[in-house]
Amino acid sequence: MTGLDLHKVFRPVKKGLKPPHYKLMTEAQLEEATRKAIEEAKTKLIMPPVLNEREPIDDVLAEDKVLEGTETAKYVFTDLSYSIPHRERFIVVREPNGVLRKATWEERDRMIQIFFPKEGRRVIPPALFKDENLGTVFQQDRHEDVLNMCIAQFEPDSPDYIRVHHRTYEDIEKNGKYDLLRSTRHFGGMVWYLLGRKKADGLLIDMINRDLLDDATSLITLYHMLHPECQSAKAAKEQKLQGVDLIKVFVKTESQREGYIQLALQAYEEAMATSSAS
Amino acid sequence: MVQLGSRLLRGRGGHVVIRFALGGCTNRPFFRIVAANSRRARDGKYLEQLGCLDPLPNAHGEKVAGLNLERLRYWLGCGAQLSRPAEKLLGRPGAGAGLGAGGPGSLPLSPRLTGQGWRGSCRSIQ
Repeated sequence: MTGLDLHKVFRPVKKGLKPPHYKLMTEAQLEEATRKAIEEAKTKLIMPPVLNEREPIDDVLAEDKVLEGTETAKYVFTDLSYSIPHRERFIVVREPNGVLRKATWEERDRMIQIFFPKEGRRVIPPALFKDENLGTVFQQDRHEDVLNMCIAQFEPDSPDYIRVHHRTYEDIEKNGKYDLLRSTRHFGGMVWYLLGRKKADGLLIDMINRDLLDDATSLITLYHMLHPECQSAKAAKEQKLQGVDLIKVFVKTESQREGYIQLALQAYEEAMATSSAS
Repeated sequence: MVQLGSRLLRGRGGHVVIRFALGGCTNRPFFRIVAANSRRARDGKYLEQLGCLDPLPNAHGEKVAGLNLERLRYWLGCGAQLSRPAEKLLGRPGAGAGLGAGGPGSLPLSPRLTGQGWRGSCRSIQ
């Protein structure tokens, strides 16, 4: 459903100025090159993981009242052994009141970024990800850039990552700008979010308007897989519906915007009739 | 081949110490936790860097310290001594470092820290 639009996936990213590189190829070589390009595009479109929010760490390792008052600031100790995965690193904090506790997730992320810097990530998250500033970015239609920056900055199970993603999806759904994410790796995440909250009607209308019937049917099959106890799912399983019938059953039972979807379907069918007649 | 300077070559060898090497700028110290021969200069050639410590608190009020526990264990196992501030620093995450290195209580809370704390509390009572 993400759609493979080569022009959008390999859209020129801003890099240094170089004169264009021309190659002389035979037909066979050209096909080979297009095939390789398609495979590369598929790897670029792999969906990033969708995880639940992580539990806050709240572990006290030791309490030494003797140390109270010796220090004014807390000490953060990070284990710098090279061959340990970042999730299993020991990062402990000794507070001025003598309590030795494990570091919270935010402290962990900051320390790991200080000692093992990752490209595209800042130690302190940029002000872009605050709610007030996200609105300005959405008005400029730069949802994809925001999501790419978010993936670079935060871990997939951090509350900030989930909050930014949900805000972006909400905004897209409110304004109907589904096409912005169509050929990117964020499309899958958006579909999952909308289906989980049963807000997929706008997306369905958009797909029918762009004549993407296969995508519309796969959307509804996915919906049935997610919510197997709803009416249209049972009906579909009993009668083994395909294609447009599936959409009609779904529209009658589950959707909130029935009128719009019926109109869109009618327009599509008329267009199909005229094109097949002519 | 290891080139030993004349100070180090006197027939009675020095020993390995784990101590702080001072770096940074004026009014801005920065310590590197280092395993070195005891007769070397404080900031001179060392055997291995085992971590660092920033003694000034950062924007979040923390003093950041990094310790390469795997290599620390190795050098302590080879029989390295600790300097007094190094002992105090490594005594702070006492239980945590012990858990991290996998051995039970390998670096218990240093006696210097307990003494310092006890003296501080006595002074505050008076």
